[in-house]
Amino acid sequence: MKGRPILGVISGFLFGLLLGVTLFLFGALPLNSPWLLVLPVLGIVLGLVMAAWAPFGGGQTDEPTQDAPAQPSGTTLEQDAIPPLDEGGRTFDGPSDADPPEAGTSDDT
Amino acid sequence: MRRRSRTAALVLVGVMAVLLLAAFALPANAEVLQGDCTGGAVFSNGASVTERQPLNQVVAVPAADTVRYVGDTNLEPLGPDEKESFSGGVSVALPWGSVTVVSWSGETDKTADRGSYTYDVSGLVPEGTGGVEVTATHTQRGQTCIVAVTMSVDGDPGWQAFTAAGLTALSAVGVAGAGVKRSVK
Repeated sequence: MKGRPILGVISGFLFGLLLGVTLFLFGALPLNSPWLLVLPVLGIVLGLVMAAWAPFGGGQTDEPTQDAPAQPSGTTLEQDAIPPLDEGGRTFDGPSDADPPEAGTSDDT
Repeated sequence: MRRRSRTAALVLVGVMAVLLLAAFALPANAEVLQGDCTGGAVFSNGASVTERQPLNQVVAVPAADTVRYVGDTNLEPLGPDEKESFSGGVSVALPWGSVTVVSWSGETDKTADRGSYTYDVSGLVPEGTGGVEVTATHTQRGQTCIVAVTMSVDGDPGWQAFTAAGLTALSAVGVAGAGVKRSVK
């Protein structure tokens, strides 16, 4: 199962049971209705189906996948469009305006 | 992935809607009556119940009231100094059987009775619920009478109903949580 079957069984049972109790308390079901017994069973089935299906969430993995995603046909990586990086990880387009001044070049004295 | 989640949410909502519709579409119960006894009761809110009350008609009675009743076994009256044994009780039908809430037995010189009875179930029984099938049984002189009526306490659903609805919604979130993929370590 891709989802959480134990959570599905417990919460499904509670969902069916409480749904039956709610319907009775709101006057929709009589106290001797067989639905009060059927609904918890249907809730368990629903919880198990949800756990087996597991349609929610991305299922993130910590390991890298073996198969790299296939490159769509007709497209190429344009290596030339990526500027080269220097040792600091910055692009090598010349000194940045944000670079700090070098030591010893101050004219304060 | 988003499309799959949307489909799953629609399936969840659809299943819940089918369950609700099926619950509302219950077939009517059949009337149950055994023996030759007759009787009736009148409540202060105008509700009345007799042995001919169909079981699929819910009689809403006040939570506290003084009810006027009449009952007759339709047996031959006893002589001046004669007494005979009797037994009986009242039970409430549950989905898996019934539970006896009142029972009686002893000896009597009557075959019929009338009077008034004061009761108060406020705080014990929630108001505005679905019907509760109440069955009264009385055995006297070898004759057993069984009379069943469907009753509920008059009023609007109280805090119990809304608490149950909230817990139902909470457990529905749990059901949806069971459908979240587990992360692989």
